[in-house]
Amino acid sequence: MIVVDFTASWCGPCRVIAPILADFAKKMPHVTFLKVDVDEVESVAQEYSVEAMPTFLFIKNGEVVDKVVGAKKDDLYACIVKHAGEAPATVSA
Amino acid sequence: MAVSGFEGFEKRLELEFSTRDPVIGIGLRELEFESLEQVLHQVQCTVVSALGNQHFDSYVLSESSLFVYPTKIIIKTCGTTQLLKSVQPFIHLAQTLDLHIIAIRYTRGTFIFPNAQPYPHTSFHEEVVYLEDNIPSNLCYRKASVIPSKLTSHSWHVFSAGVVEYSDNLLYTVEVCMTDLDQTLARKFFRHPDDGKNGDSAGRDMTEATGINRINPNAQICDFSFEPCGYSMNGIDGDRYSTIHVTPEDGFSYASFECVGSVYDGDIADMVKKAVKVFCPGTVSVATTSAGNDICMRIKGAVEQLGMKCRSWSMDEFPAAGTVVFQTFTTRRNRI
Repeated sequence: MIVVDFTASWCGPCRVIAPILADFAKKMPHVTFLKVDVDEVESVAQEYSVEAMPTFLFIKNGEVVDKVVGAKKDDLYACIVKHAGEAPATVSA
Repeated sequence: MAVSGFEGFEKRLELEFSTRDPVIGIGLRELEFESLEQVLHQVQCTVVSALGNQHFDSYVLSESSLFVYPTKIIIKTCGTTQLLKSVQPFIHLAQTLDLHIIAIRYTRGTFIFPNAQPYPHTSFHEEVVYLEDNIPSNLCYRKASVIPSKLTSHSWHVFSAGVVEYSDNLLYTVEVCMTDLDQTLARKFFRHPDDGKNGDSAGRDMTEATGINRINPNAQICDFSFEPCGYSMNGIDGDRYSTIHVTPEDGFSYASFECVGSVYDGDIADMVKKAVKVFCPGTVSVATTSAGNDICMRIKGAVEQLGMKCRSWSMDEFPAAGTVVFQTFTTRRNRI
């Protein structure tokens, strides 16, 4: 699963969630975390109708399955767990 | 009324800044989050949620809200927070960005539990002395006033200071305070043990269940629900904010609704009406700053449409802030 973080350098709330997101990325290697700077890639932000930030899109198999709008630590965690589970899945031979 | 309880009535501070640099850029939004957190720590509150857009940043705090625009800071806190202790730190932080304070406005209603307030909030007199001691002398257009109503428990306190006299402005502020909330409606702001939700998801459910999301359908909402009860939200719509805070407990129930309006806006009166309807309070007070008479009249009409009666209409002029109008309403059965 991919978590896309729509962020901007001038957005204070994006700075609030940044260290929390970095922490999630470290603890959940089974999830891919991507950052989209809305100024650098305006078209992508517009395509996904991002109006406020931070906005997180959860993408699975090419489809947007969920969205979190705001620096919401608990919501983010709950969404990640819901769609990708808490820990990396173990693969047995 | 309970003997003691949580103080819902907020203290509100608005600080305006300016720079000699013609290009302001993002101004105060450049402040490091750690710096903001340090100031909030002095006021005894923390950030629980946040949301921003191209115009400004909004933060939901453990005790209300903070809004950071390029040249303006608005902070509103309830309970026993020492809000005025943020004045000096904010002025200093702004100076690090070469921004200088040009206006300040402090407003609040009447505390339900005034004796529970710490220094410098033990009296309006003490608050004014503190403010005068902590703002630069070039903010020379100053006035402090207590605007009365016919209800002794409801007055509106204003301190305003600025470097220039107020001149007509397109924007105005509306601050609505509600007490004696309908208890069936207030119960929607209580968490249920083992509901399997967190502060964010429970907040979102409350926003929808109470119709708060319909007050301004255009706004992006950042909400949060506290344990065991209590709710806060910030709405962002372009460069306008709105904010709601709820203390639902019986005996000292309280809810506030605040928003910014413009003379070009749709219907602020309709938004006020919808907000009041969420709570069906026994008493409502509406304070507007720099709003024209017609807007005040429309708000009055909208609240009266809910079956409430206007008990008072008072106003005062502030050299740096313009006209403040203070209206109070009670349900027809409730005259206290």
